[in-house]
Amino acid sequence: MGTAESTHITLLLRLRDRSDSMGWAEFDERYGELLYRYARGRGAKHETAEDVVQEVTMYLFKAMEGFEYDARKGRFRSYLRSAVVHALGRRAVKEAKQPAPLDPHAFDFIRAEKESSADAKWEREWQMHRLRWALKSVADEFEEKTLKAFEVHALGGLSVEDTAKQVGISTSSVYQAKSRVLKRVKAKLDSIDPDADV
Amino acid sequence: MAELYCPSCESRIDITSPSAQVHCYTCGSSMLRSDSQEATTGHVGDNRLLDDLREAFGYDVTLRDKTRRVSISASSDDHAWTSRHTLHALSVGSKLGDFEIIREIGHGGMGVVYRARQLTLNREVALKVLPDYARHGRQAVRRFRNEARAAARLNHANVVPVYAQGDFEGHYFYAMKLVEGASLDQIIKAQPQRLSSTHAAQHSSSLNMSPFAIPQRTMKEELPTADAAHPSDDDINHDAEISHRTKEDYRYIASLLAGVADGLDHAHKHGVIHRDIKPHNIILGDDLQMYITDFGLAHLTSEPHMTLSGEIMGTPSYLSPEQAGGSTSEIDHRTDIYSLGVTLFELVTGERPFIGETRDQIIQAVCHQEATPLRRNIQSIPRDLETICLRTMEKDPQRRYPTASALAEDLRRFAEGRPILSRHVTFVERGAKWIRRHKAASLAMAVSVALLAVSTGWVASYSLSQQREADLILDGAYDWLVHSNYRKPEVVLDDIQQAQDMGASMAKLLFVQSLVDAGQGHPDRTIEKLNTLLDANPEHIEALYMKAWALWQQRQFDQSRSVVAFAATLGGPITPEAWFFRALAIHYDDPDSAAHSYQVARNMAGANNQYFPQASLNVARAYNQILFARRSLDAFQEAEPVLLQLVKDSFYAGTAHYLLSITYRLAAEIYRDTGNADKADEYFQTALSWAQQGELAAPLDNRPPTAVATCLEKLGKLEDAIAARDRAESLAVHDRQRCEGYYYRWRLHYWLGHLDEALTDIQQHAACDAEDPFFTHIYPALIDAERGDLTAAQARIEALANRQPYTASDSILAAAGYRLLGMEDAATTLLISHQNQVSFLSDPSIPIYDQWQRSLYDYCAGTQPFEVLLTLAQSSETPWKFLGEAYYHAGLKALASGDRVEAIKKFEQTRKSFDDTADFRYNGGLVLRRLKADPTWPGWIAP
Repeated sequence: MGTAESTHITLLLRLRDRSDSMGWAEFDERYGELLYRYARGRGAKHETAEDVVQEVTMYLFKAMEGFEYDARKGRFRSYLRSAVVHALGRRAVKEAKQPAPLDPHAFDFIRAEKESSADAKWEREWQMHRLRWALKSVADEFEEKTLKAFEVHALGGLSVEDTAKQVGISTSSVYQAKSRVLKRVKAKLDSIDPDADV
Repeated sequence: MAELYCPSCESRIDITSPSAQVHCYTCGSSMLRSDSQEATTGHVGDNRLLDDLREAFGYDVTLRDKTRRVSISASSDDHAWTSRHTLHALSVGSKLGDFEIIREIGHGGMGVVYRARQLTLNREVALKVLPDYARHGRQAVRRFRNEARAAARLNHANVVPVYAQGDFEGHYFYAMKLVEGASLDQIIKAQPQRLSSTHAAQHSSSLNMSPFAIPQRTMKEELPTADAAHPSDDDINHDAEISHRTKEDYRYIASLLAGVADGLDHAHKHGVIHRDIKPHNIILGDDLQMYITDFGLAHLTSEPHMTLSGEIMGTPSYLSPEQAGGSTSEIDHRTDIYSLGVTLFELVTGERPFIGETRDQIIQAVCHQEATPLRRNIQSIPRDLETICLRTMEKDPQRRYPTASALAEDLRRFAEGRPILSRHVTFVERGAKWIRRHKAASLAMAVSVALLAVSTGWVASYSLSQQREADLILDGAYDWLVHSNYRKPEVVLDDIQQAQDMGASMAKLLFVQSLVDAGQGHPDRTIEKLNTLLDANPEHIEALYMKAWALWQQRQFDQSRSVVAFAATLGGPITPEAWFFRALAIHYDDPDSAAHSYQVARNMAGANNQYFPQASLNVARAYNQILFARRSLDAFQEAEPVLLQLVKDSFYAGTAHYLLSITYRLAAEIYRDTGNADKADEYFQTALSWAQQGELAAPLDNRPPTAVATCLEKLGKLEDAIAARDRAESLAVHDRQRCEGYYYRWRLHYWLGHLDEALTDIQQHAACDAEDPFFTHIYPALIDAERGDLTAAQARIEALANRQPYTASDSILAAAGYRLLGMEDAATTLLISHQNQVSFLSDPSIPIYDQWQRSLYDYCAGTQPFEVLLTLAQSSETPWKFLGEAYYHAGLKALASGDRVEAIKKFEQTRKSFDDTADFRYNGGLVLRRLKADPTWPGWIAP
C-alpha cells in the first residue's frame, strides 16, 4: 500500500487540522468528482449531488477530529461510500426526521466493507477515480503541450493533424504524447495495489 | 475486405500481406492480426484503458466507433473538439419537458443549440442543451449552470435574454430568446455589406424605424458599388467591400458596437464577465439590434472558486494578454473590453490583429506584439476610431478603457461625429503614467510637466478629458458600492485610487470615499468628509442622508434624526440612491419607513433597468428588524419572498440564506411565545434548514453556522448546537466573531453539565470584554457553585461588590450574584450598606435612565415594591427596554427565596422582553432553561 496510502493519510491528518483550509479544498479536488458522479449515477439531480459532496466533505471535516484512521479496520473507500450513501439517504427523507450525520467513531467498517464491494456502481466509479488519480499524479512529469495533446487527441478524439495544429507540435509528437502518457498511467496503476485507497 | 485501423493512431492500415504481423506506416506501430482481424497486441489493453480514461474524464466513450475525421477548418478555431461531446444530437420532434426540438442551429463552446418550441407558451426559442451529462464531469455541469445563471441574471436590450432553465431526464438546458440574425463572424466572412450604413438604412426603412444616430442626409451619399450593395452570398469581393467603406459605415459600426459595450457594462455591473467575447458570440439581429450571447465561460466574480484553473479556453485570437498568459487572477471586466477591441479591429479592417500558424504563435503575438495601427493598411479608417480601437487593445489593462460604459461613450461620440474623450497616445500621457508609477521621486518633475501643460494649452484639453474619464471610473465604483455591496469596498479601492491619480473631481472623490469609510466601519471619517462636501454644497441630498446614517452608527441619534428632518425640508430623496441612504439612516429608528424607502429605491432603479440587490437585501433586513422589535408576523410575509428571490438569484451567497433563517427563527419565536408550539417547531426546523443551506452556499462564511447553532439550541439539540458553534469558531475572521461564539457556546456546555468547557469559554469571553461583570464574576461563581464550592463562589461575588469605586450597577449585579447563590441576606445587606456610597451613571440617550437605576436599586434592596418599577417602565416610550431587567431581578429574588415556580414565571417574562442588546433575555434564559430541565436545581438553595 506504500506511497498511495501515506499520501492519503497525510490528507486525512490535514483534514483534522481545521486551520489548514487547503486540506478541505484538496479533499474536494480529489474526491469531489467521485462523490458527485456516484450521486448522479444514483439518480441525484445536480443540486443534490453538489449538496451531497459538500455535506460529505463537511462531515469528514468535522468528524476527523480525534479520528484515528486505521487501515486494518477497513478501507477508506468503504467509509466514503457509506458517507455518500448516508448523505443521499438524508436527502431522500428530507421532510421526515433526518438521521444524524455519520459518526466515524462508531462506524461499522465490516458491514461497510461488504456493502461497498457489492455495489457495482461504486466500484466502477472508484475505478474511474483511480484512473483520474493515476493520470493526475503522472501529469507533472509531462510538458503542458504533451498533456494537452493527449487530452485533445487521445481523449477528445481530435485527429492527429488537427491536434498538432491546435497544440502547436508536430504530428509525431502527438503520437508520442499518446503513447508516453498512456504508458506512464499504466505503470502508475501497476505500481499500486488495486485495493489500495487513493 | 474488412478494414483495419491502427489502434494507436487510428489510421487505416493496408492489410495486403498475409503475414500475422502488421505494420502501421503512419505511426510505426506493429501488431499481430488475429483471425477476427482485430489487432491483438498490447494495444488492445491500451484501448480499453483509453476508453476507461475517456469515461473517467467525461469524454465520449463511443468515440472510437464513430467516424474519427473531424477536422477543423482553417478559419474556424471554435471548440471543434469539445463539440465531440455532442455526438448524440436530439432528434427533431423530441421533447425536453415543455420544449419540442425543431432543428439544430449550432454548437457552442458548451452544448448544442436547437431551435425549439415552448409548448405551453407556443413560442419559438433557442434551446441550449448540455446533452447527456452522465458523460460529463462535475465541472462541465457546473460551468453550464453558471452560464445559465449568469445570463439569467442579466436583463438588457443587448444581451440575449434567458427565459427558463432546467434539468430534464439527464439533459441540462436553458431556453433563450430566439434572435433572428447572423453572428458577426458569419457577417465578416460572408456578408460584410451588412455592416454598411446604407444596408442599415434600407433595412431600417423596411422595418419602418430609424434606430441609429446617423445623419440621414449623408446616407445616400458615396454609395458603394452596386455589386457590393447587393452581392450574392457566394460572390463577394470581400476586400473591396472593406476598402470601400465610407465614414458613415465606420460610424455605423461604432454605433453597433456601442450597443455591445452597453450590454457588457450591464453584465459587468452584475458581477458577470463574459470572458469569451468574439464575433461568433455577437449577433446582429434582423431588427438591427446587437445581441451578446453565449456566456459560455462566464465567470461569476462573486464565486471566485469557480474559475477555470489556469486553463486556456477561449479562441486565442480574441484572448486578452492576461488570458493568453494564463494569469487567471488578473482577469477582470477589462478582459472583455480588450476582446471587444479585437472584434472592432476585425470588423473595421477585415483582419485579425494577431495571426500565426499555430495556436502558440498567436498566443505569443497576443502577449508580446503591438497591434498594427489600423490606418497603416487602410488609410480611410478615421483616426478617432483607430484611437478607440487601439486603446481597448492595450496590453496593460490599466491603459484600456476603465469600464465598458466609457468605451460605449467614446464609440457613440465617434458615431455622432462628436470629439472622443480618449486621446491618441502622446508623450505627455506616457510621461504622466511614468510619474504615477514614480510619484514620490518625481514630484518636482510632475510640477514642471503641469507647468508645461498650462503653458501649452492643448494639453489642458487632454487633462480635462482625463478628468472626465476619472469621473467615469468613480461613477463605476460608486455604483458598485451603492447597488451591490458597500461592505466590501476593497473591490473598488484600486479604481478609486486610479481615479484620484487621474485627477477626478474633488467633490465626487470625497463622496465616494465617505461611502468607503462607512463600509469599512469608520462613520467618524464618513462624517468628516461629508462635512467638507456639505460646506460647499449644503443641499447635497445623498450626502445628507449618508451623514444621517453615519451619525446613527456613531450613536448620535438626535443629530441623525435632525439631519433626516432637514433633508425632508429640501424635498427629500429623489434618486434611488438617496432613498437607499435615507432608509439606512432610519433603519433602526423606523424600520417600517425604512422598508418602504428601500423598496422605493429598488423599484426606481428597476424602472431604469438597473439592478439594486443591496436594496432588496435591506428590505429584508428591515422586515427582520420589524419582526424582532414589534413581533409582527406581517413582517414575515414581506421579508420571506424578497429573500427567496435573492436566494434564487444567487446574490450574496449565504447571506440571503442566513437572513432567511433569521426571518423564520423570529417568526418561530413569535409562535412559541403565543403558545403555538407546533407552528413554532415547524418554523424552527425551516430556519435550521435555511441556515444549513447557507452553510453549504457559503462554506467559508462564519454567520450561517451561528444561525444553525441558534436554531439547534431552540430545538433542544444542544450537542449539535455546540458542534455548529465550533464550526463557526473555526471560520471566524474577527475577534468580535470569536467572542460572540464564546458568549453563546459556554451556556450550551453549561446546560449539558460540561463545566470545564463552560468555564473555558466564560474566561475567553471575559478576555474579550473585561467590563462585563457577568463573565468576570457572576458566571465563574455559578460554575463554582455547580461544583459544590460555595465559598469560592461567594468570594468572587464579594470581589465584585467591593470593586472600587462603588457603582450602582456593580452593586445591583453583585446582589444578583448573591441571589443566584441563594444568599438573599448578603444581597440586601450589600445594597443597603452601599446605598449612600454608590454613584449612579447616567446615559443621556435613554430618557429615564437615571430614575430607572435608582428605582431598580431600591427594588433590589427591598425598599420599593415591584409595581413601582413596572409603572415606571410602562411610562417610558420603550417599556420593553426596561422590563427585561426588572423581571430578571424579580426572578432572582424568587429563586433565592426558594420559590422555583415564581422564578420560572418571572424569567419567562424576561424572555418576552426584547431590549436592544437582549442582555436580560439572555441572562434570564440561562437560568430559565436550567430550572426547567432539572426540578432539583439549584441544589444549594433549600426550597
